[in-house]
Amino acid sequence: MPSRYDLLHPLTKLSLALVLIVAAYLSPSVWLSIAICGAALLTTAASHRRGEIARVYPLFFVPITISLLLIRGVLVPDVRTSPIDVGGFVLSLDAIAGACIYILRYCTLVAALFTVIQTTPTAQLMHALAERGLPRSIEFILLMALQIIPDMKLRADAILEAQQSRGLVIASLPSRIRALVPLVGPLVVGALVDVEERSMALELRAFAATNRPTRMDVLVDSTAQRVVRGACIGMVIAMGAAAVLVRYLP
Amino acid sequence: MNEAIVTTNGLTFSYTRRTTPALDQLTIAIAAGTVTAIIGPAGAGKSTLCALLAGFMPQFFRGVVGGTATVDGVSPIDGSVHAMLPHVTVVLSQASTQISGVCDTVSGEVGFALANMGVPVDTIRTRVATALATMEISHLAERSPFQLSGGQQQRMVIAAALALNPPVLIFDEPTAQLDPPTVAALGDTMRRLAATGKTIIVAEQHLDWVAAYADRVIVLNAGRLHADGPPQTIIADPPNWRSGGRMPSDYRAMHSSMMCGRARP
Repeated sequence: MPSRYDLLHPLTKLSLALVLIVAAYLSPSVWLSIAICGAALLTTAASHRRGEIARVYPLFFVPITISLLLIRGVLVPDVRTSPIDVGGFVLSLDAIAGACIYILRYCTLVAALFTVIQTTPTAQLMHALAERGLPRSIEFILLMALQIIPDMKLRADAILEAQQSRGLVIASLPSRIRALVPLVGPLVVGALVDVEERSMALELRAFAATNRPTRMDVLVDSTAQRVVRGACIGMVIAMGAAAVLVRYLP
Repeated sequence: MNEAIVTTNGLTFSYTRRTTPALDQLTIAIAAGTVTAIIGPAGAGKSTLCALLAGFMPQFFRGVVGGTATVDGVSPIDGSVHAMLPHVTVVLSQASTQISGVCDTVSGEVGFALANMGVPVDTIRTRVATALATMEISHLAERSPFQLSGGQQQRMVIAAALALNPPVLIFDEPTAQLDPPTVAALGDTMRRLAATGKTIIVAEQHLDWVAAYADRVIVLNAGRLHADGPPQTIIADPPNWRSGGRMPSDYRAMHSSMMCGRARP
């Protein structure tokens, strides 16, 4: 059963996501970043697919958290503030705080956009963007990208199975990293080879037709949603202006 | 003999930056309501002919076109692919690459081209239902296209072509990705479509399939017409395959297997 968030107009969801992403990018403090990231996670919680979306988050969040903590700790080792020795790396509270802001920006970006994509049928998203004047050429590029993602997953599974049948062992983390080498080449080359046939297929689906397409789905909109979208755009502009003023005013 | 619905006269096509033409002075006429197989070794010009008849040349695939071609009375050389869709469409070999990615259901995918053409919603719904029923996949209408098996995806792609309701349907190596039962089912479907008046053109490598389902075989070699006739005549007549050693050995092997192979159902 779709939730109220799921049934929002695609542009309303995108506007909310945009506000959160811009706010996370401009946030100067860890606590504010945590609050913004929490708000992004709330949109996930408001979706009926919250369980399956949340299951994917560790795959995004854990590697970026570990790598950013190490990178920021090594590259910006401000050892004046309470240095901490982590296996030879000297971290500091300031460095960790700085890393946390980056991590929270990334998590906000992923949570906000991933929730929109997972709760909005692609046709509706395209419909909404096309209604606002998205050029057909951009829609074509987006479609090509959307086509390739599920096919690349299937292709990657097939390549890995083929490599495993030839003796490739995938058990530990190092073996998984080693398995990437024989996977990436065929995966990328195969996807590129398919691009011509995919674009032929879109031509055969009259995608290049110049007439106004028929939309099979009806987008539900309301005055309240239009007001929210306007407010979101206003907030983004205000945050951008404030950031410029803070940066450049003496 | 029905009237010719597809004709080419001295048709030549050379891809940009290629020295030899992919199609060379090809003159053929294909009757309406028949299943015509186009066979030949790799590089013979089968796919080029399919693409040209569908309107891909010279706008999509750049090159120089000579001679004339008509499909359902319209020249594919002067138009575009979408302008040709009411007259002819092509089903490509890989079903997975023909899924738009924008539709969440099989019925949406089947009606995607009609929606892009601006066809009214009610007409789209009717045509989609008919196409799904013809391909016997009505029960899959609400499934995601990405959750279908390879054979089901191929049926969905053919249904998408049928929904356009063109008089000419071209299949470019349709059996390449399919298992034997699905290959046989596809042949039966083509025969059924031909019986309803559709003209089916199939670029195909498998001679046994051609012998079982085609009314006529056109053999291309190096872009030229090499042989033309009923499948039994073409396959049984050795000169069609011993053309000065130009036909590859695997075709001769297939021919040998054909001679002791299955009869048409």
